[in-house]
Amino acid sequence: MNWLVLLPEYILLLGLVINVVLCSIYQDSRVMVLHVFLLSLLVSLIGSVIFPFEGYIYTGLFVSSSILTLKRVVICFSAFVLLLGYDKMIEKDYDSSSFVLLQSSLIGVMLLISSSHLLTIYMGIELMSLPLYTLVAIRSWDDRSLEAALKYFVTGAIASGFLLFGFALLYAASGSLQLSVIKDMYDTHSASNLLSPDAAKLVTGLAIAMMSAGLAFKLGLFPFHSWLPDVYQAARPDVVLWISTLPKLAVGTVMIKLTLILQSQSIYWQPIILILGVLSVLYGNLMALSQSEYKRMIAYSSISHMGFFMMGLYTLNELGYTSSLIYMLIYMLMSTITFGWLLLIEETKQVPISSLGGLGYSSPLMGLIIMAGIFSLAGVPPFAGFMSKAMVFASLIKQGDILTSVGLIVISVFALGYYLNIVRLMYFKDETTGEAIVLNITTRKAVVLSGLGLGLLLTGILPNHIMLFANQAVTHASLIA
Amino acid sequence: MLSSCDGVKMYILSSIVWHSFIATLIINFIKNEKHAWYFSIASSFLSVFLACVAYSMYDETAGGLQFVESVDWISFLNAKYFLAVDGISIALILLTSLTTMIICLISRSLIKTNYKQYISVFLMMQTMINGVFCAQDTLLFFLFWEGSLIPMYLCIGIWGSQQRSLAARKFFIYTFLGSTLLLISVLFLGLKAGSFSFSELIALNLDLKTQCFLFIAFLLAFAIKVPMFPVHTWLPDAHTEAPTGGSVLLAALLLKVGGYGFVRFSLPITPDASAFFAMPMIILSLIAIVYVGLIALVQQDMKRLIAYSSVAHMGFVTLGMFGIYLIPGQLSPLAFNGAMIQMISHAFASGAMFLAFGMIYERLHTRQISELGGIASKVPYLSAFFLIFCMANIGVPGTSGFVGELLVIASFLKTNLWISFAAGLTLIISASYTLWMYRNVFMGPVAIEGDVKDVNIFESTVLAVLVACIFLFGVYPKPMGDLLDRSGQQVISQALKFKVGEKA
Repeated sequence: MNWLVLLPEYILLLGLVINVVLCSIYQDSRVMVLHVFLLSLLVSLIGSVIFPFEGYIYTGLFVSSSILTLKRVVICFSAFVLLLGYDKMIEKDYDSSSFVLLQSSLIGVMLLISSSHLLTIYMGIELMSLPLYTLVAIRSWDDRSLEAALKYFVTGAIASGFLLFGFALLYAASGSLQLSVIKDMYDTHSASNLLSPDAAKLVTGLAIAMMSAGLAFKLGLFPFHSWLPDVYQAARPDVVLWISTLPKLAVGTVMIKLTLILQSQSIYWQPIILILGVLSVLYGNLMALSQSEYKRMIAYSSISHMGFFMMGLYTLNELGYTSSLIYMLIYMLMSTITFGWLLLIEETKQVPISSLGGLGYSSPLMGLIIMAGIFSLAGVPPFAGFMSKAMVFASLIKQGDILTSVGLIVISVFALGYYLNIVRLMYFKDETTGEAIVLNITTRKAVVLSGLGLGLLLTGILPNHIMLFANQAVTHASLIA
Repeated sequence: MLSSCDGVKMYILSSIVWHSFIATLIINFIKNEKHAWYFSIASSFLSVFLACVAYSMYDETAGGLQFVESVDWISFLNAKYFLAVDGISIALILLTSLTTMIICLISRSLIKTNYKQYISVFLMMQTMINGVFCAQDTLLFFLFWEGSLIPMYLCIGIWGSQQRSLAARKFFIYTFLGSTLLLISVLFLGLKAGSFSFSELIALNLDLKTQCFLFIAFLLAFAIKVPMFPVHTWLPDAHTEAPTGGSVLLAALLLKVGGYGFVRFSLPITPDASAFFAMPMIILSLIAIVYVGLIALVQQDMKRLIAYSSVAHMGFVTLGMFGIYLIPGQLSPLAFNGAMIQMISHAFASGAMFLAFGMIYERLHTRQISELGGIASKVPYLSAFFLIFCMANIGVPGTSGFVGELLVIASFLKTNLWISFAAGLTLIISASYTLWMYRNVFMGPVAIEGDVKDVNIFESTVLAVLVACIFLFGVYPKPMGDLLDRSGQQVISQALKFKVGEKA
């Protein structure tokens, strides 16, 4: 029964195979393929609930444990994304191949979460990213999206190179690719048997630097962020919604895994994380302040949020990992709202911030949900964004880095400048200038978005479950072994 | 019989906090605006009723925390949903429900657009403010404390006057900046103590240096909210631009939240640092009383004038609170109680002035004192009411404003005559600007043409309730004193229980 470890992935793979066949048989198979995709999500969710199997598979390449819940979250989120984009996706200019791409990217995300081996991590990242490059480029008549796709692909390829090089160095230092073995190695002996102690130290430091650079590219951390605003602005809204949520979570879990196995190497991790984290928070917020286009602004704000995620890892202790995982999960929730509503707009090329004027009155429910999302991004209680930030601060404070947390929190006050601007435009009537956008609300989208908005509020008020879950996922090192 | 009484005691605080939240949810589904108004009045009467029940059941002689409700909330951090009240909280909860009732009653005639949303914003704020007064867990306190930010921001921004978005943003960023450091200190203390409840944090042993840092962090949060002298500049803008209901709530309740924060955080958790910083705090309070009072003297905008007078009078609250470190023995409860009574009476005087001014503004659409004049002949009843509120603001004996100021000034007499003298200057200064304003607006040659409607029977009833409160507490302050006395002494004993050796 060992194969049950990867049951959700197998079911999705089956759906993928069916979809590929459907694509080649029928001329216009969009609706059918989308339904098969949704059905396979449902079946894999049910499968993971009925057979919650824990253990290893393929001699320890993959693992399943309490992180099964994380997979369920991923499945639910991708269903949300698909339901939000449903109408848009079955329009004329979309091809059924894009669903196949999305589906294989999703399998990559799931594999990343359950991988417990450096090779499967690499494989998962590639499986996740390659379809995304294509998806960004899929609007081939639009020069901007081609440019963005090229940027995304080139930087992504470089990132993969960095990552692979880092893995190779780590292998050289530890002699293993198995995450749990590497962890034991570093926790018990400070250096390896293969290299002299000095060389091992150097190689480990270099490996950590390389791996962080590679993952920083993928997360879009400063100074490896250059692809991010362009991609967010130029890609299709449903693709942006995808890129800004699930791959971030997957790469985030990889980051947590790597910091977990090399927990003892704080001397290398901490300066790298501090620089990446603080500069991302600072740069993201400052750049977002000067943006006049909504998607670009949120893109820069996402850089700052990834910085906060990194700062959670700074302490390299249990509370820190927990706070980072919570941050990522809640960020995903917020991001689904702040990008998801863009799927309600007819024309999606540019969304000037001024076009949000009076949105709170032209569509009250959506206005309320978007406002909740924006306030949550800003970290104002009672929304979930506050709790996630508070947890990161808590981990820093517990470690004694009070000055760092004070600095971060003061920077996050600057961020209010652009977040409040959106609320002002939406609700404070006389400020309306420029052409207002029209939202095309269907019941399905309204239900999904209100559900997410309600989730944002409930997680903000009653965050205990998500905290306990995240803590469970990191304490027994369930992510790696 | 006893068991049912216990049952009420177990859930009274939760119902006080959450009933208005539920009302907020329901009110948005009511189609007819008039029905929404009735509903909001019903809800606010319910809150007054609940507050009165809590007041009547509270055992004044025992004092301390009563009606304890404690449930696990965030077990991961050991933060609890922990509600309990002492006399000070009860007084402020009574004030909250009364203020919300007045705002709901008067709202219909003042607000024409988006009425339901307007009411929901206030009911939401009522939830948050009641939550602040009930919470005994610092993380819960912080959640409620910050929760009032968004409703107030929307209130100023949506229903305010011309410069509203600027004022709303100023309000939001100022308060948010202040509370950031409060969050850091709450997390620091909570993680150190392993629990976020006030009683555990008070028991925590802290050295003077840590206490000083914490005190400054607390100070920033609460001083901005009160507001104290150097960080008061958001208040005149917010007050001026906010709609009438918003100004009333801001003056009557949100400023009190700041003062309440000092009572719950600064004094008991960092007693040594409070003693260390007592003199600077007193000086800042005196600057607020004298200097801000002088600023009020030169205002051309009537609402701004009331706002500055509000800052000046809140100076007495901080003066009395930190006075306990200078005043020896039996007199220190006098100063503290004076501060608490001043908090309550300021709500009546300042809130009532904003309310009455809202009625004037609704009729004449100007805030400039120079454009108003002689309106007493047009609206005699409203002018009469306003005069009483002015008297309360000045602190004329017999009105509620007199009691608090007298107690604070008198308690300093033996310790430091100069402090009493400087604080006493307020009697001259506030009399000057209030009476100057009254003369220019209500007396003198008539500057307005055409007919102006006087207050109708409904509005005058609401104003009469406020007048009754002002005279009641001015002439017979004993019930309020009894309610505050025991709890005040308990706070003082915590505040004087120094953690590092003798007085620092």
